[in-house]
Amino acid sequence: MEKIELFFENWEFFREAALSGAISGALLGALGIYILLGRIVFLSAALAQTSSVGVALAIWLTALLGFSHENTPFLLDPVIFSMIFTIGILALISKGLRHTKSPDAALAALYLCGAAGTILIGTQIIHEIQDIQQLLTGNAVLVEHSDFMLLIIISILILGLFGYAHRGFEASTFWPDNSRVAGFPVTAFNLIKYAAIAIAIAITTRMMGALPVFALTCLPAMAVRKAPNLRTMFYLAMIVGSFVGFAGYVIAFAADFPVGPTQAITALICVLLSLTISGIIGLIQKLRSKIRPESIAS
Amino acid sequence: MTTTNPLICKDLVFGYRTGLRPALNWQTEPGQFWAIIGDNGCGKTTLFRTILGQLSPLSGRVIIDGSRAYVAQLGELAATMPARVTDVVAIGLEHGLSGLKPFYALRNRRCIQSALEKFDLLGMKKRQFSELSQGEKQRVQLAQATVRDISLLMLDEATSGMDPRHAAESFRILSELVQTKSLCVAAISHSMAFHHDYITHVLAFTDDGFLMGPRDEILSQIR
Repeated sequence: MEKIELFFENWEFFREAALSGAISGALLGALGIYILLGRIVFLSAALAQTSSVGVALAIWLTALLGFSHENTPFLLDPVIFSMIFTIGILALISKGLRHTKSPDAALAALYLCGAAGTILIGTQIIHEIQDIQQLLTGNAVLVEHSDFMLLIIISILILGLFGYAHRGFEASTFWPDNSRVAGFPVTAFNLIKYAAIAIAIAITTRMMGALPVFALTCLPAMAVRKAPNLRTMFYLAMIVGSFVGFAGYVIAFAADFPVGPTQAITALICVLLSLTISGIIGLIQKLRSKIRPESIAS
Repeated sequence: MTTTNPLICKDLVFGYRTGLRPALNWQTEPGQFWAIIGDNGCGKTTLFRTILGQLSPLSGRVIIDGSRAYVAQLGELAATMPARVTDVVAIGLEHGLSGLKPFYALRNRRCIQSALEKFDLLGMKKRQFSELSQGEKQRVQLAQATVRDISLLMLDEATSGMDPRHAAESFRILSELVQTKSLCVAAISHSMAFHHDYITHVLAFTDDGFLMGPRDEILSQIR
C-alpha cells in the first residue's frame, strides 16, 4: 500500500507513462475484438514484432547517419519510422496473405523475422540496448511527451472512427460476401481496419513493447467475449483494456515487477475472472431451469 | 422496387479456367421465382458466384438492374460472432455508405421489426445468433436478405437445414414478396418438395447445356 501511495504522490512523474498504458489498452482492447473474432490473432503478434524491428531500425539508422537524439529527422523518429515500416510490410504481404492457403505459416515467418531482426539490430547499437530490451519484454517506464500526444490523437481518431462506423466494420468483417453483393464497400472498410490495426500496434509497441501489445490486442476482447453484441463488446473491451493498461502499470510499480509482463498477467486475470463469472451465471441458470422448468420455458 | 430486368446473362461462359458449359443466355423479370436445378458439381454455385461478381466471367456479360441480396451457406466468422438475432437481421440494411451512420433510423427499425415478424423470429429476437439451430439461422439469413427493398434475391441452398414446416413457410413468404413487391428470386435447390407450388420458372442444368422457361413446361421436358 505504501508503494501505491508513493506512486500517486509522484503522479506528476508517472502520469504520462501510466495514462499511456490506459489509452493504449483502450485502443488495442477495442481493436482487439476485430483481431480476436476475425481470427487474425497471429497477425497482431507478427505486426507487434515487425514494429519492434521498425523501432530498432530507426535507432540504428539514426546512430549510423550520425544524428543525435535531439536533431533526429522526423522520418527517423522511432514511432513514425516504425509506423511507416509496419504499414509498408503489411501492404507488401497483404496480397500474399489473401491468396495463400496457409497464412499462419507466412505470419509465423514474419513473427520470427521480427523477433530475430530486433535482437540482431540490437547488437549493433550497444548504447541503446536497453531500449531494445524494453521493446522485447515490454517495460515502459517513461514515455516521451511527443509520443504521448501522438498516442492521444491517434486513439481519438481510430476509436472515434470505429465507434461511429461500427456498422460498416461489422458488416465487412463478418458478412463480407453478403455485404459485397449488396454494394457495400467491403474492401475499403477492410483496408481502413488493417491500416488502423497496424498504426495502433506500431505506435503502442514503441511505448509498451511487443509483449503487452500482443496481450492487450487479445485478452481484453477475450474477457468480454460473452457480450450480447459487437457494439457492447467494443466498449467493454475498451474499458477492460484501459483498466489493464493502467492497473498493470501501478501493480508493476508497487511490486517492483517489469511493466509489460505485469500488464499481460493482469489481462489474463481479467479473462479468468470473466470465465469464472460466466461459469457461475451458467450454473445458476441451469439450476433455475431445473427448479422451475415451466417458467423458463414460458 | 420495380426494374425491367433484374438479371440478364448475355452469352455468359463461366467456370474456373475453362467454361463449364455452353454460353448461357438468361433473362429474368420482376415477379418471377426461378428454381435453379441440376446435379451436384454441374456449376450452379459457380454460376451464382459469377453473377454476383465473386468470379470473373470467362466471356459474356452479367447485367443486374437494381439492388440485390444473396443468401448462401453461413460463413464461419458470421456463425460465431456475438450478435442477437435482431443485430444479424439489421446487417441486411447495409449498402452503399450506410455503414457510416452509427444508428438506425426509425424507418429502418420498422423494417427490421417487419422482417422478424415475417419469418416468425420475433420470439427469438434477443437470442444469440450463434446459439440457434441451422434451420433457425437460415430463417434469420432470409430475414436479413429481405429486410430492405431489393429487386433480385439469390438463394443457394438457403433452406437446406430447415424443418419442412419452416422451409415451406419461408418459400410462401418469399412467394408473397415476389407477387406483392415484384421481387425476382433465383433459388438453387436440390429438393423442390417445399417450393414446387411457389416457383414460376425453372433453369435446369442438363447434360448438354441449359433448359429454361415456365415451370411446368421445363419439368415435363426433364421428366
